[in-house]
Amino acid sequence: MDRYVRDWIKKEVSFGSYRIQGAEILFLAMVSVLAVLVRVQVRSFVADDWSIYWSSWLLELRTRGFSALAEDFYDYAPPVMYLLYGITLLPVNAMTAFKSICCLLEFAGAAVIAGIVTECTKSRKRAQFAYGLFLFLPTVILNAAVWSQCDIIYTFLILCSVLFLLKGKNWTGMWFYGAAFAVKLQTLFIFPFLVILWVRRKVELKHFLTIPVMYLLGILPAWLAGRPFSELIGIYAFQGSKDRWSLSIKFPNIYQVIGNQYFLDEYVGAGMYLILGILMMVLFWMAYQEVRITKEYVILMVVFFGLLTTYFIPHMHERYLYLTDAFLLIYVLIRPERFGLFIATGFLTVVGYAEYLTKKPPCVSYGVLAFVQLVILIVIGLDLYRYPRYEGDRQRLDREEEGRITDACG
Amino acid sequence: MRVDDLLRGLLFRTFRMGTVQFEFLEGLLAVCITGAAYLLRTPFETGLPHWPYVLAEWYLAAAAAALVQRLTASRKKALVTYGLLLILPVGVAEGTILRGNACVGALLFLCALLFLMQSEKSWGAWLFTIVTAVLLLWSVRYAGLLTGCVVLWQNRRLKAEQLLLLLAAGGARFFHACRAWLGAGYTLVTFHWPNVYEIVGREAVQGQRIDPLALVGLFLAGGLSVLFLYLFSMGKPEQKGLHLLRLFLFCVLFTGYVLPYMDQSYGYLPCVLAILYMMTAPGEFLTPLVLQIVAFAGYQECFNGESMMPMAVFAVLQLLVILWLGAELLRDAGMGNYIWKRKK
Repeated sequence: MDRYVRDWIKKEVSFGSYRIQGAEILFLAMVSVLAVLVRVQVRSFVADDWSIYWSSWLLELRTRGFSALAEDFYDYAPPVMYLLYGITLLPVNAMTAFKSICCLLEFAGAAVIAGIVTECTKSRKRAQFAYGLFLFLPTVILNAAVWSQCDIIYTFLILCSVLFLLKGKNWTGMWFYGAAFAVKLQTLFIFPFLVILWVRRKVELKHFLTIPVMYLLGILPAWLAGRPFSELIGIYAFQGSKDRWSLSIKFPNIYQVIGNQYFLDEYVGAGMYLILGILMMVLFWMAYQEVRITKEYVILMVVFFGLLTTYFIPHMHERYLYLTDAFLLIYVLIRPERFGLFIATGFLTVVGYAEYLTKKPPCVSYGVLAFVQLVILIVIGLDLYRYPRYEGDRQRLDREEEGRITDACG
Repeated sequence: MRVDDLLRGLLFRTFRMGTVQFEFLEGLLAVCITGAAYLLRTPFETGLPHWPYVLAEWYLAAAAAALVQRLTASRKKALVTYGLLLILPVGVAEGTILRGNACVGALLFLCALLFLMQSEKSWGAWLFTIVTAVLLLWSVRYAGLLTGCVVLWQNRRLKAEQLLLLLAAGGARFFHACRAWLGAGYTLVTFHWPNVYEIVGREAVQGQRIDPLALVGLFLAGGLSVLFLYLFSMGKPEQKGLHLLRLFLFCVLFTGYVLPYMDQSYGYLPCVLAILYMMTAPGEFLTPLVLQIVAFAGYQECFNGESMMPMAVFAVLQLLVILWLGAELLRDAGMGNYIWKRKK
């Protein structure tokens, strides 16, 4: 028996071109089962967002059917409302159904993360570790299974987008990006990385057409239902003007240092122009940077822009680092010496979640957390700045290693 | 040719206008960042931004770009300096929100530095002297520059008569300021400028003609300046470009750190100098970053009436920058080796 189990653990099984050991199957199965169990245990938690917004939207959709989408009771992008409408047609508890769909996407997202890690590192072990780690990130568990939020939807689409871009399938990658934009405006946080990819001849202008096309496709059913086109086009602008009561909603960024309750209207405009100016200069510098666009560099760019934009844009919510967290996980698995950053970011983001869910102020002030966030931004910025040298050093080391192996064999 | 290649080619195509040569992307950034900087100021105004301040800030950015171009011979660094200074939050806070004139002071000092670096001949030094003397007479917040000027004299960049003129201007303004301060009965020793008084206590001692804390601060500023000059006279510092910026940045910061009755606008000149310093020494990006946070913390306390974090935190951050710059200056002057050898 013992020998049989040990043999099975070491045995390699093939799934098409993918080969996997018994131990790895066991690990993935255990992680997946535990991840399902934790989500099942917390599924009944009803967050304020659900009782205030989601349930009333569902009630509206249930009573009036698809034609309810003609009204302006919702401020989310229409594709999310289609999902809710679909849920109203199911014979199950709406919250459980919504959470289940998001949790399924979390598993799919974890698989895509594993795919990106494999693409970047060629390491099966790291990919499996990434899969498990993502599923057990506190913010990932809290986001959908507890809070009934759906940040995983656009995150999953962007993960797919980046995976296909890394594989050189630009059209597929950009269709996914367009779909993500149709779901959430937060997709734009990382948009500058696509500009750099265009400057470096990795994507073409025609690929960017997918963004408006997918957006129009996304709002088309709502328009057919009767909502005015002008309202649908401007739905993101309306979202932006909603949170006027605070410059930062439990998010550790610059406004937690300079005061998030003052100059509420003025800092909104100023913050947007400031980040615009900063991005202009960063893009200018990156356009001239002598660097080879590697897969790692692409991931690094996504992380950097995700951190930079959220640090300066006003009205950021505690959940808006969800996407960056996912890419930071990928980055630290490519460069394990940066693992500390991942832990720090995980801690920072969970503070805001905890405050929302428990309604108790955090032990550490957001000002301090904002400084920690700034340090993380600086470290990632420095990684980007020093990347050409780092890449050069690594290539040299690889050549030396190859030389040593050749000498040993020769 | 495909549109993509055409556009990419256009971005990096070189254009020539008279004697000025630039790439399209550089021109694009210059135009866009100027527009963004203008728009950045509009949310704080009911109408259009007040043009004298916008113009002064634009001149400041242009002068800083010219200085960086001279120091580094890099057009791109000059352009980034221009952009950074236009969107500098401290700049918006001072010129647009507070309608303060610290920008004019910074502009004058950058012009003075340009004159000094323009030529090794005496007219450059004289112009530097005259502009700096005007600055010293104008406001006591520039008193820290005097220490830097003495170091310049020690290293034969200025003549004795030029130094005397500067000392006279600075001394007169300082004396006038002290008289006003000591009889004013201020309740605070610092006005939103996170310096040493935010650590030891910023409440002024009441009921006495002379606030002892402020008096100690005044003498401390003088004493530390002399001590620093003594240390500096032992070494042989280089007095060009980067080192000059470092010297003046340090002098302005350490004087302001102990001088009493300084306000948030004191941080403006160090912030500008720190940007120039970073552009000439790219590894030094933390200095302007920290100074920007420290100075803006002062401004936000001034606008909001309270600070999100204790001002002592920012004072400590500033102290770290001062210590770092001081250590770098001593290393420049070869003092590290000097002290080490003596010890041995």
